[in-house]
Amino acid sequence: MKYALFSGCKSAFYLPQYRTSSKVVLSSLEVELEELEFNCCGYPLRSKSQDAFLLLAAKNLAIAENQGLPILTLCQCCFGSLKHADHYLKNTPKKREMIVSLLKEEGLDFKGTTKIEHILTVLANQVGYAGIEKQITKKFKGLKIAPHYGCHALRPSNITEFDNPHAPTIFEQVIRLTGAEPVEWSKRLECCGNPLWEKNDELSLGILEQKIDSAKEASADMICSACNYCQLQFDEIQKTALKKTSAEQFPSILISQLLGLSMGLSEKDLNIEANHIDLSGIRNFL
Amino acid sequence: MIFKICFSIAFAIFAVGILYRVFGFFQVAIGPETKSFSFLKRVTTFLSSLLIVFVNPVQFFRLCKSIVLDVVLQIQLLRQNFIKWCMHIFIYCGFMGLVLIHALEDYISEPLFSDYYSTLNPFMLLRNVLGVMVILGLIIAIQRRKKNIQLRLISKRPDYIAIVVLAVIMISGFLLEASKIISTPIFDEMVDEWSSLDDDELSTLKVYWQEEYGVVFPNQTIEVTQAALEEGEEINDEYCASCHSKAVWAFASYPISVGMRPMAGLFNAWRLDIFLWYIHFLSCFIGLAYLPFSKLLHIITSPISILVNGIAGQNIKKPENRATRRALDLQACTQCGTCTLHCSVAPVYKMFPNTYIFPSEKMLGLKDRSSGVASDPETAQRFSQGSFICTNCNRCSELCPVGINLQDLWIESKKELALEKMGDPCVHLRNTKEEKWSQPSKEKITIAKPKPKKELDLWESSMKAGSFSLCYKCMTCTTSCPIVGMTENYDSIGMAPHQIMHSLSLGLIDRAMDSRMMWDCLTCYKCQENCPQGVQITDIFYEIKNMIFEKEYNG
Repeated sequence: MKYALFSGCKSAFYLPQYRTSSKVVLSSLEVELEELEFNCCGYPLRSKSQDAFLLLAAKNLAIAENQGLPILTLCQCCFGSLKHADHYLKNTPKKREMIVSLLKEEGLDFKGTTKIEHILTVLANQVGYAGIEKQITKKFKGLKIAPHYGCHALRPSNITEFDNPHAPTIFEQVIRLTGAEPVEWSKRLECCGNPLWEKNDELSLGILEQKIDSAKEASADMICSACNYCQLQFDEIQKTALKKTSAEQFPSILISQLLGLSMGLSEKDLNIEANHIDLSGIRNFL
Repeated sequence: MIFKICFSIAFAIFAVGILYRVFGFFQVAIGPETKSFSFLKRVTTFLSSLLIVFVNPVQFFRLCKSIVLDVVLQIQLLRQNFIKWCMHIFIYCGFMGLVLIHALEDYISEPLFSDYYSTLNPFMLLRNVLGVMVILGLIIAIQRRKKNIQLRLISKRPDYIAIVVLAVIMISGFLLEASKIISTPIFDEMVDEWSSLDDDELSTLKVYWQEEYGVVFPNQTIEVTQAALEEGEEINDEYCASCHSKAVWAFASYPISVGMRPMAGLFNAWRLDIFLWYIHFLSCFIGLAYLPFSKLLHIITSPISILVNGIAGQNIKKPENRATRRALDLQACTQCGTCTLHCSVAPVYKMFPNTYIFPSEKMLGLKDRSSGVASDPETAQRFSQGSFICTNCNRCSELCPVGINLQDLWIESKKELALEKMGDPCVHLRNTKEEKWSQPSKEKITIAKPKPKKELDLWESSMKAGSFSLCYKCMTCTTSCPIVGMTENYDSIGMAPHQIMHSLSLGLIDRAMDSRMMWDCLTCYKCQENCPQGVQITDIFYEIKNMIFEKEYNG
């Protein structure tokens, strides 16, 4: 299994631990990754111009196509964005013609053959639950995790084809492999609030608080996310903007970090320290 | 005399310019928090941190490593692009070599080498090698800027002026050397000054110098015989050879002098060599005086920036030093275009023809802004729009060959723009909608225009938007919307999703466009996923936002 790793703009500077931890975890699972020079997935520009969004997304698909590699995204917004552009271009011949002519100027082409996967879909469908289980060396005991699904991977389901949009299970199944117990929480499928960050901070934080309260209510120990933006919202933004005491802060772990710990990888390899909210409590459950 | 006066003027301008720049490093404030730091505070913080670098062995090691690997060898550039590295090394080594052994010969070469003469090998040969290196480097520089579409877009007058100044210095240097090789007057002057030859001896020396050194004696009959050559060689050995290597060793200038021979009579009579000498030293002095105000300043600033990056990376702790670094970084940019060529959002330029999307252009814009030059509102607006297309992916900072922390500059300049009410255009649009909705409109609402505006006609423009007509107002979208769920006062969001769909069915797209809900939408797609009629609500919102953006900013 070989993929072109699409780590997304945010993981380069703001969330390097997602990229580094995913790389060690995936290589232990014999998923080969190649780093190509992708550009922005287009998601941040969707509100401004659909054409700009399509061009950026299509260029990424073309770059991967050029190498004959499927894309593996870490970020769910990147995943949704690439999926959406792929779907849209395939169903809108006029737009496709326009975008392809622009790509041709750079010596690229869009044939629509690039497969787009998210780290969770690769784990569940390509590596397989049995394949992951073989690598699990330390199981968590008594750790309760609130899995956060992330909107842009889950919906619109006819385009993203991620999992059942109303009753998804993929995240819970991966978490169960680590010995941790996924909790059922009321805001499981809701947005993290990040799309409004720096646009309408009050609303953005309001939604974040609802999420955290819901996870606490379900007596989870931490949230687990699989998206650059969601993790930023739960970790860095919660810590810096919600102005809570450190005892009140509710940690969030990345799926790659959670899986890596139970695979016996070191905290250093998984860059646990880079998380803004202290995660060291997780040691007690191993 | 003229030489000395010109040099003094040029050096004075250079010195004042450099002082002005150094002053600027501690004065220019980028970022809202930096305004409160005083000049003195920034200087003292910088000096105390500088002291630590020399005291702390770890930091000192990093400094030394960075000097060798990053400043001199330019490893970062070598990794990225070999051709560009050659360009840099050719110009850098060639020019520095010429400055040291040639321009500063009185102060460096002569005291260092007891047998130094500019016309003696290895110095003469070396001068030609270095000069040719610079010219090769300049040719690569021009080629690069001409060939790459994106580089051509961002290349401007200062980039070409820098190339032209260097090219004039180099070419005039070679022409000067060539004109001296053929020069009769210089030959005569040298003979008068350094020898006491009778006419016969002089004529044999002329034979020898014509044949072996390429001097041209127009209107004189020089009879070349074996005997004259041999005698000329003896005289040459006695009087000349200790200071003159054969002209052919000046392997670049000599062929030029051969080309000049047919016109040598005129050139020698006009004293072309003196004319070229003026051009050569004046162009050097112009370059010197212009340096602090041009992109050539990077000769001084870029190494500092590279070293700062080598020691501290992107983590400078003291806010005063961060402010100083930003000011320095702005001046360290060489406009090489690496950031722009790898920028993660640069392709968007094809959709929004705004050069401020490119990081290297934003550097120029930021330089203008920070120097207090008031830009016209349109330029300011374009700068803001370009800035907010950036996704802060940090790739520019990672790749910058001179170690500029561009990421930090973008973060701070965006904060400043937001304070100046020129923040993210989407936020601006949302806030203007908010004002509209907080004051109930007294206008009459026109219902169902018979002919909706063509560009706003969702039926025409969109694949999926037509789906809104399937809406039967069951309100599933609104009840599943997390934003509606958070809202106590419905006026604050304008309209709820189902109302927006309803107004679209009525042809009231203007009402939909004015609704703040558009900009408060999380794009979580819950409405769209849950809609029993398959209305693509979130995608319709995206389209309406695009229309608003188009109308407000590109219309």
